[in-house]
Amino acid sequence: MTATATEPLPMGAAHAGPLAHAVGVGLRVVHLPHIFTHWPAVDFFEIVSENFMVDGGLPRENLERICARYPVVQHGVSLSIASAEPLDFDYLRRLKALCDRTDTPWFSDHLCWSQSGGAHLHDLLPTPYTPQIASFIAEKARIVQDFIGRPLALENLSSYVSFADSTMTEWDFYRAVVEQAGVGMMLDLNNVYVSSVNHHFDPMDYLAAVPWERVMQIHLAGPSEQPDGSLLDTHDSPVRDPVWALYRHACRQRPGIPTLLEWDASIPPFPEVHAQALLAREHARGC
Amino acid sequence: MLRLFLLGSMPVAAEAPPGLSELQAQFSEAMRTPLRILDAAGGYVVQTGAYPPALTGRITPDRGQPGAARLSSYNQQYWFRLLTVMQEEYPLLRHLLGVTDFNAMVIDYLTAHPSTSPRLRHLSDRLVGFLEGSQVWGGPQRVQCARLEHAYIQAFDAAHRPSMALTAAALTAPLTVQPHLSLVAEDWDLVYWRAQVRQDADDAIAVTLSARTAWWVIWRGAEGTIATRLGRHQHALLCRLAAGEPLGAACAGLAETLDAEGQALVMENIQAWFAQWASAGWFC
Repeated sequence: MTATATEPLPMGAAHAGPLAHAVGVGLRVVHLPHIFTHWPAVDFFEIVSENFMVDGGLPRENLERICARYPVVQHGVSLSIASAEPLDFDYLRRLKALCDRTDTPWFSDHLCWSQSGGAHLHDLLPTPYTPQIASFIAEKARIVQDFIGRPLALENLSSYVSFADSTMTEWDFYRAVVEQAGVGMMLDLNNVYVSSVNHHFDPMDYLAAVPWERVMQIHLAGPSEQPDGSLLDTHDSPVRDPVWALYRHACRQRPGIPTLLEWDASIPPFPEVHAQALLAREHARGC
Repeated sequence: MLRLFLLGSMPVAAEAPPGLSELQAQFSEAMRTPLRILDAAGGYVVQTGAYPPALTGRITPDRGQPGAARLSSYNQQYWFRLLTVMQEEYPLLRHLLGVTDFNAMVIDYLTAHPSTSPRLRHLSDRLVGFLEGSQVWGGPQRVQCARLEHAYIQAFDAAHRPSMALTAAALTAPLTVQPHLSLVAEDWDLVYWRAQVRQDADDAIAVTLSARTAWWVIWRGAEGTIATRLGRHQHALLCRLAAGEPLGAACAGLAETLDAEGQALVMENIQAWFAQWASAGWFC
């Protein structure tokens, strides 16, 4: 399915399918022995695309075993859609090949940049929020979605700096990009919360501006706190109560949105991570 | 409306808005500003004064901190992330240098050779060359160690092509070895010590390198990454094949370097060697 700038995504495009109401877990190497032994009942796994854009070996073998048993959704970290540099079609070819292998129903990456002058910075970096930059990114996002041939969902960032020359709020910028591009949203509620603390805004103002029909998936995670009170998006702790509150609001807006828990550092055993993810179902029921 | 993507005519997005490229270049420079490593306890200094002033002036001050201090989060995270990756992939080199010097070496290396791939597995592709050319960090033990540990990275997830059976045609056509296979010669029992330090989470082992030359194939089998010990002549022959020499020419070239005893040894064993190598799937 490919949408254009003038065609909004069909309502419920993402969650009308088999992943409606699904609660997934980010696939992490440390959990593979448990998964391959117990084959836990998980609705879907999300993989970090770049970890599997390799030519052979254990990563590919493990992915094939996972794909044989579970739906897999791809999430990338290196698209660098907001980079001033041209799209990397070598990267996109590899990404497309992986999408075809996993048959991911959509693929996501971040509304950020991560390379400059040929150097990859391996981080998710913010940009000033202006209409010109939003339009520039939207055009690139449209090209990427068409090239891959599957729906693209862009994820909002956690950010630690703001630019004096921004002329839009983050949420207006995010909305402008996805609507102009005709792509979906990967709404990370922990990132909304982290940025709201770091940049002193009300996260409900953010959610009030979200075009819910474009939200294809939700991310949940736990941050860590800095000595100055700011938050880092470290994915190393349970989901915080304010994020669950945002999640309940999201579920009221769009019941059944596929939801995924990310845990990337100080990773507990799989049953603990899965149990944390399944709390999402309890919160969704309570809406 | 679907776009058509024709070979050689990929669509090009509009030019970036004015100033975006410069802003990102300045941000990149600030992120990659080296941390000054102080001690083994993890002490370091963030050099915020080295960030481009044109950038720091555009960052909104917050929590009583100027723009440069806000930016330092990215600068620190950049180095933490890459130092962690390198420490995991080079456990023996880290042990040999000690954490403090290892981190300082990696900062020097990545400052000279920033990552050019979206995939972190390529982060250290130029490390051996860097060490070979470095007065500060070089030295035979470190270079050999880096070469060995890079071979393990390569073995982990490089391609495996369909294996080729040895036939008469292989005598004249160049053989190709599997992309995940690396031939390594080392003089200090580094494979043994690498295995030891990988099991030593507390850095309790004292590595005492003593001279002992060994030849290895680092490759990937059904059970994962493997180091297979070779004889000197086996290693020399495989190196010739890996360099593209046809089998016949490689054997003849090797024989020219050997005395009569060495030649006899090779002649006596070569068939068994090739049977073993082919059954392991090393040729493709």
